Amino acid sequence: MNRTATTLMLRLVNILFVGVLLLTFSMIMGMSSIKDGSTTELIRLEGELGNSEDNLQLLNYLRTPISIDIDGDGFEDKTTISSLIEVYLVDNSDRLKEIISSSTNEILNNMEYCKIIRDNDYRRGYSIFLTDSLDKSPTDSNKVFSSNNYCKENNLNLCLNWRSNYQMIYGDFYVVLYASDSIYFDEEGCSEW
Amino acid sequence: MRNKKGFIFLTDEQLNIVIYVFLILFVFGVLIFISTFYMDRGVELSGLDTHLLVNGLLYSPDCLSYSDEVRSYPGIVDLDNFNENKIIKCLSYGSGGLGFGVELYDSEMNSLDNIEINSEIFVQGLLCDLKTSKYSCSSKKLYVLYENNSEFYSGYLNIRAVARNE
Repeated sequence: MNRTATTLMLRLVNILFVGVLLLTFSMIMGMSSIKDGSTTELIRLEGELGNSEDNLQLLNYLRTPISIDIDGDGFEDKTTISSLIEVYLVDNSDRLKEIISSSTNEILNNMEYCKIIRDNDYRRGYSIFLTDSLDKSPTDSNKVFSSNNYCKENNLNLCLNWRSNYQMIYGDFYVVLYASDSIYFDEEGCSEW
Repeated sequence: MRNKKGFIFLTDEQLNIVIYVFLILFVFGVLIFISTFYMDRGVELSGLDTHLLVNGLLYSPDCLSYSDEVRSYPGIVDLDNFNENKIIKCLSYGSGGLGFGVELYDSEMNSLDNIEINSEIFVQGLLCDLKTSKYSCSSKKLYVLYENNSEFYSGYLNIRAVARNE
């Protein structure tokens, strides 16, 4: 091998080596970002799947038609729950809160259902939280409406719940839907197949 | 290159090439190791069947979704679409695929209508609790609105699906 050919090959190998190093670096950086998601891969997948369905449920909740006598003139007006919530957020009246609370609780209770995850029965529960900031916790608010089995603690005293979806209504107010999976304690389980 | 005694010796450049080649092979080995470590992992797909089914049913105007002249309304069920023929056409499930039942309730949980697709698979759901069952079952209940004679009412859609285990 003459000197020129050796030098040329050495340069080629040098370039290849630098290229591989750069590729390695970029892949390792990419891997580290994948790693963040990979540890909760299944849970995130399940969560993302549920989001589109809960988005529909939240939209349907907000556009639920309701007939009530809002202004007290003896005649029922047709409106939607989102309109009622908007009025309630301005008025803050107890009467409207009672109407919203009873309608919402009825809907949320009927939304509950039983699901089986790896041989265990869970009951899916829901909660609606009205807030002016997504950073606020529902536990600090009185504008929370929950289904009967929402966030029942399991045998480890854990409440498996998560913020499932939210919609902005009336200025900066949000209606947030929370969901929870509670282990069913009854020995018979809750399978409704 | 051989010296006078017949031994092979390498020049500095040739030695560098050998070192670089080993380094490149090492780096490739590390890359392959990292790739398999992070990427070769199983993803549980149970639940995807039901998810795709629910989204197909509720988002498509060819399925259950209500639509007017302007747009469709995902999540609002058109009662005129709630029949077996319509769903078979819009989802195109073959006989060997998924068996499922869809039941619509009104706001007081009175059953309004009920459809079963691929009944021969769907009935296997009765055996899903058995550990030896070759089928997996999943169910979902969704809060929906339904349209009847241009009026909207609140209701619930109960979807139960049975899939053959692979």
